Amino acid sequence: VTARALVGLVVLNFFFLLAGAGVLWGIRGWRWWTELARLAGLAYLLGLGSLMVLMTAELTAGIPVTATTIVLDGAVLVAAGAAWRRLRGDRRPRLVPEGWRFPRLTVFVALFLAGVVVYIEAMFRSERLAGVVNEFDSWAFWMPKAEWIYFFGHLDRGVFELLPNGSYPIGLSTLQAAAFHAMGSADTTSLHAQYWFLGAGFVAAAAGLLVERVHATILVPVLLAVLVAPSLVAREMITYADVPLGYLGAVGVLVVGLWVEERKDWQLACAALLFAGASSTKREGLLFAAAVLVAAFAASFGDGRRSWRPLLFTGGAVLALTLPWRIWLAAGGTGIGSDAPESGYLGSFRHLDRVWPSLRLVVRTLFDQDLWPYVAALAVGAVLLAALAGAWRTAVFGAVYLGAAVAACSWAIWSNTSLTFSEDDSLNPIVRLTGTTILSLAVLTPLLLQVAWTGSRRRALRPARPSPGPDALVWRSLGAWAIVLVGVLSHPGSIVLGYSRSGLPGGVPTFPSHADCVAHAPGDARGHLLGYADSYPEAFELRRRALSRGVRNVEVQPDDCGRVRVFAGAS
Amino acid sequence: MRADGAPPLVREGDPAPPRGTPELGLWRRRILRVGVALCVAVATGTAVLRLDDALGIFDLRADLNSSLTYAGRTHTHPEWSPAPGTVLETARLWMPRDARYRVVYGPAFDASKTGDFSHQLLYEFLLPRRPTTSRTAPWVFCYGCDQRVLAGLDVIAEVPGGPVFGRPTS
Repeated sequence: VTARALVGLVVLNFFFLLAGAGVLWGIRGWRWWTELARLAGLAYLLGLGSLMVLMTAELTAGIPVTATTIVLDGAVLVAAGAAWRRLRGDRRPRLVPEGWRFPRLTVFVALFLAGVVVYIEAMFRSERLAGVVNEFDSWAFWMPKAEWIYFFGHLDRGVFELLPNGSYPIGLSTLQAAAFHAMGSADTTSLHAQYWFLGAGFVAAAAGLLVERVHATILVPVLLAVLVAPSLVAREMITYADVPLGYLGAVGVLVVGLWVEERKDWQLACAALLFAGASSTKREGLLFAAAVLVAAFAASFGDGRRSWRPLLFTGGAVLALTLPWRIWLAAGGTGIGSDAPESGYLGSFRHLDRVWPSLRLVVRTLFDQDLWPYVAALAVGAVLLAALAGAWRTAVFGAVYLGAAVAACSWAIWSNTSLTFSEDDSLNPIVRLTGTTILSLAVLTPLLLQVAWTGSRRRALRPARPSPGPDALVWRSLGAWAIVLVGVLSHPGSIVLGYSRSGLPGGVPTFPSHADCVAHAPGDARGHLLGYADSYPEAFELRRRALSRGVRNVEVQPDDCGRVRVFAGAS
Repeated sequence: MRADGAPPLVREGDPAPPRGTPELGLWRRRILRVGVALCVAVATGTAVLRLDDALGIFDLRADLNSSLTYAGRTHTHPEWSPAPGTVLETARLWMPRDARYRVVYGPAFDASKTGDFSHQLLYEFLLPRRPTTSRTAPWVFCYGCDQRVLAGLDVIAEVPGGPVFGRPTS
């Protein structure tokens, strides 16, 4: 829990962004640097996904993953992207397109954008000093895996056999191990801050992909509405894999949704990497990849092979990129356990009595107002409106994805026969599982609403993003950025002013250390303090030296900060 | 970009208009626009009403987490697992970082019934100290062990009814 750890995370996440920008440059390129700024979130998630896949492959091949390997991996991604683009003979990008002006905002949009900024700043502070010890799955298997990779740089079947869910993919563990390297220690408390970067990256990715296609008056409120969903607020900073899986999966769904209309090759390439990353995070990633491909097939049904081939290729790429872990797992026998459902893949058909209750549970969770109010209902409404507008491709994509995701989640519950039909997290992971569907629907909703608003053949004759409100209320100006600036300054302001609305003391951030226990030594340690040691053997050595110099009543006692205190007693 | 700051009518790279979409009638367009406006209104209302709650929860958690001590951040609730604060912390302070330890489950241990999760917690907590199955391991954790096993241990820390940490005497 140090400032150095936070600085390390900033550097690491810039590195992820850089590596992802290399990948994006290779598979898409950009004409202007402003385009990269817009797609920075997507680049960041591509960097994460690519590095997780790469590090997983290295570990399964016996190549140690160390700080050096991680840096080299990033360099390889950037070099490969640059080389590929050079081969295609693309020109260097320019700074901005001709006639570019800094974007103007409406007051309405600025207010909601400020809300998003305040939310993200508050999110950073919430779990920065949390312990992982109350996050059960985290200390039970995510942290041991990540720490093992950090300390030793390789996989150990014997250790994975000891851990619950040892068969879960290790993509997230490699990311966490990279964070430990960047922080300089296995600081599981500061690791929570890494999840802040993931959340901010997701928001930037979704907004960056949609802002050119969807009017901000639709986009920003919908985005904020899902961010404030109680279930997301409760889970996004917990060091589990469910929400990161949701981020990668949702942005993957979005780029495939865009491909359905726009048919750009780079969109499927991005989707393949994002879903490979999602599948390296948790095995459910493959389920959601299958769901989105089914939806894309359905939405492109009339196009025949022209669209089916790239989709099949995308699915094949996702499978191929996740193969190394599956091969490593299968090669080790049954010691670690299978990642198949409890009933087995075909065995699930012997438990058909579980189908209906599972489906009901999934639908109930999806529309649960206490978990994510209105998110799913808005998505369903948006699908219907898009269909009414005749935007069939996008509407069919959204509807079939929703159906396929519900079916996939139902199968996951139905085929794991020990799960009871409850939303209680200790009995059933349905809420965490449904989170990916919710995030995916949340990023599709603005797109669906926009096509519903615009859905007409004459769309191209109108402004690209017609305003969904009276202009008198939503005129654009540069001055509206001042509202966003107030949001940006809200938390630094609370630090300077020493005031926070919920009664927090405010002031500069604290970094708890061993010194806290020195300052607050208990009463029985009031004897003469001789020193602190990091272990009992060191403390006994200190006591031996004190005794040899004639000090009497030397005692050794653990303090409350993970060290041993050596002191001479009062009597 | 137009003079009023609105986007240009058509830009290079703009997505193509949807194919096969018929021209919409006036009433259908109106219904659509009312529907979209309603959806945006619901999203707006949800965001406005819930933002305050979300910020309150973030602030509350920041408050609670900043008041945690080392022990609060490092060890689970005592009701979850009574061992960490005593046995595991003592073990960590005794074993060197390159130590290897063995975990022994005696006849009285029943993982399905115990409320003590420390047998799982120790793998994370003690790293980089490594678990081993070797009988020559210099450090031992014993869960539910009987007197015969305990007699061969120099017990360093224990919790009544919980785990024992020690060194083999021979």
